[in-house]
Amino acid sequence: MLVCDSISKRYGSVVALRSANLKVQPGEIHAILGGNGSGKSTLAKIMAGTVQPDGGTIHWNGVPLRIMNPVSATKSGIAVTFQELSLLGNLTVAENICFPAMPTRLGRVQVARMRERVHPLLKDLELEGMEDVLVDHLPSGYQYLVEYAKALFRNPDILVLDEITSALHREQVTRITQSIRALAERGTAVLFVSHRLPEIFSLCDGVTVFRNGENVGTFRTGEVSANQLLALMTGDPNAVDTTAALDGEPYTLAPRSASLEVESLPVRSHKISLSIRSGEIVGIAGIQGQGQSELVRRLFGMHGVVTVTLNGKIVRIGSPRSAVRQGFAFVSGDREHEGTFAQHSLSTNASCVGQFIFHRKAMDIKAEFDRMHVHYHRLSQKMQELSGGNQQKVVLTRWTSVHPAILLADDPTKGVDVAARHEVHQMFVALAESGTAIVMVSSDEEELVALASMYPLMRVLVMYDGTFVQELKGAEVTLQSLIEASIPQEDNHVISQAENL
Amino acid sequence: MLFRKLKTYSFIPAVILFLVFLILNSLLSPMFFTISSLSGFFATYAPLVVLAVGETFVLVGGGIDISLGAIVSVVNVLLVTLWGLHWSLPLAIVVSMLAGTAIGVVNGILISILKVTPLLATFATSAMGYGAALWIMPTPGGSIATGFANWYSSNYGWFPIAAIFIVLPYVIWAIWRGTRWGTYLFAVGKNEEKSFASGAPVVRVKMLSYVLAAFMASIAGVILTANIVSGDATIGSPDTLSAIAAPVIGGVSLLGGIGDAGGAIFGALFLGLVVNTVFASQVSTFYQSLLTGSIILLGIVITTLIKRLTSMKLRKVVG
Repeated sequence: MLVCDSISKRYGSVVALRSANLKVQPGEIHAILGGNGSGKSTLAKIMAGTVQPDGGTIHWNGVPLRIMNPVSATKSGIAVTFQELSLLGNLTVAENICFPAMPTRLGRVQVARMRERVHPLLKDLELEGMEDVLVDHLPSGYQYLVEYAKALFRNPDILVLDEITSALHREQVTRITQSIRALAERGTAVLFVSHRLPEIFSLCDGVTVFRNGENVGTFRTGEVSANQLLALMTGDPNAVDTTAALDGEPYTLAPRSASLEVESLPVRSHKISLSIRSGEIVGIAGIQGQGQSELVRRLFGMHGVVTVTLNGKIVRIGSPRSAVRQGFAFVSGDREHEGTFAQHSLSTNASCVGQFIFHRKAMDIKAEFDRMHVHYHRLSQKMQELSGGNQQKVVLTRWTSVHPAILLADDPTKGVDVAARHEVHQMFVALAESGTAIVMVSSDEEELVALASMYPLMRVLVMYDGTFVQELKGAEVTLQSLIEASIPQEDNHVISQAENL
Repeated sequence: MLFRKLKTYSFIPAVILFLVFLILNSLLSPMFFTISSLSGFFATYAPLVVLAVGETFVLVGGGIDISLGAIVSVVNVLLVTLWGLHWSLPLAIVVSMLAGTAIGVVNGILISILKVTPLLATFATSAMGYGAALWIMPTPGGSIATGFANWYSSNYGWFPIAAIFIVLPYVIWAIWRGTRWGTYLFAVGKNEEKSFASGAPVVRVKMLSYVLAAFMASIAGVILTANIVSGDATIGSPDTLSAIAAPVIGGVSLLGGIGDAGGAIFGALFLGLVVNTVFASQVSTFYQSLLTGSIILLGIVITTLIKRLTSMKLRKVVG
């Protein structure tokens, strides 16, 4: 039996895992369920040896496992698939699966033997003939299957699958689930990290719910309902009731002139059309990596020239600078790389757009910060000294000071604590009320539900593989409806823009 | 479903540039294809070829090494000095090569274990290397065994001995590439974190890439000494950037994980041919460097444009 006992991990001031416990029997498929930031991926990384826990022990059949690095994890019989994949794009499928112990003779890697060894695995997953393909040349769904094959190749006693199904098509999911069942029958303990309820109920024997880095409940899947799990996951006993509110007030929008029209914007291999009115908040949901980020970045001129209709006028955006001049704003969740100048002062961070793009005189930053509830010591202090939430408020100050027509946001509350997150939401609502149209990508379904309950002019578009597959308005925006819509059941689920939007 | 199995042929532009300048050279100086002229050419540019392959190890592994020129200088002055102290030639070669390779060990420790930025680490060791070389031999001079020098620029039948040092680095590369460590090098160069998560010995892979590069630079130092038959503490300095440019012309990515020593060799020979062509065209020495630079720039711009056009067509065919 696999026993994880009081595992803890902090990253700086953020607690990822606090005393997490877990028990899984050999041959059991056990789900780890939790929202983004619940600590489930950290646990997977600790098992993989890529992250060292601050405390706690892991035992397998009574023997303590000392996982110092990925090599000792493999030696201990653990194999992990990573949500962000561990594959190397410049190597072939066969090389990746055998990595790092490619078969050799007299020191030379034997390509033929390598092919032979991986062939049965690839055959099971219907990937025959792909041994010599470079991973970079594979579509992302296939890459996830190869990541899975790579884990299987290590013949693990304990297999940890971190969101393996998130980028897969339905028939690929079927292939993997069949394989997982066969593996469990042979006695492997499978940890299935996911935030998708239907898969958990159909595949897993047991389920443990994580919230805020803690185990908040372990059940047999037959003895628990989806609503109970949802309530535990969100920590809100009423999270369940939102589905019942479907027949509540109908979603209406005051007849205003459209403020942004986008037609056939290329995202991934598809073309997207979008229409947003002034004062509206449009959430973009979906499992990660479906083109959501590309959409907002394209609109902000980060991927070449785009043409949009803004307030009836055709506008050409060639760069972020021209986007800003046309009235666009962009709030990135990747504060370190895109959102902030970490080494510069708060005042520079707040006034850079106004000063350098609009050549305005310095604003009263102190007053603006007070209005935005920024907690800080001095205006000259470095941006990186602030917490994530405060940094994001400074970024918002930067934009509100130039009154943007369109605010684009990509996971703006990533790594922001709950209280500050709520404040950011309130600022979004205030901005929308003042007439700004907001497009907000979020990988956190709960966040979209929360915003929808705060603001009536909110709708959510669910994205899958570069297209919108569903539009949800007002009370239709619930955790379940979002999660369901994120994974298309059939390929014809992809609805045409003309019909629905 | 069909997927592209081919690895990229990023070295092709270097081969084309090489061939074009080979033809140009033979037109400008009809004597180019004589055995003595060819062995002179190989003897002059074999050190750059060896350096370029050494740099390829580091670039493919995702790093950069700007200390190779300094290593050449150290090996050069040490070899000449030890020979001047009446050491036996083999012993002098071994000791000076060990000293050169030791600089690579220092680079490797700084970069792989202490995680110093490769450019800064090798910038510092490079300055120290030139300093040490100048300390060993403040003024150019000295000599080396004439038998060794004559052997290096001679021919075995029609085969120029120096051409061994065009082939040898590729053999070393090909053997290395065929082992697990070769695969690790490409993996680490592509993505260090993913390589680590997959169980690659990341620290040792990076370490070895710098040691191998320094070892190759030491070979280059020895054959350069055989070619110029004297010692000079600044002799390696112009080669530092050429040794980086050659592999990049040959399709080795500065971002790591992509490239082949074959491309680096053709890149180095192309650079050599350009200098040779300019020299053969009897332009005044004052304009030679300007002309050389312009020709290299033109060649690179044209091949880049051709590459972009052809890859765009390829994409259309695929899509």
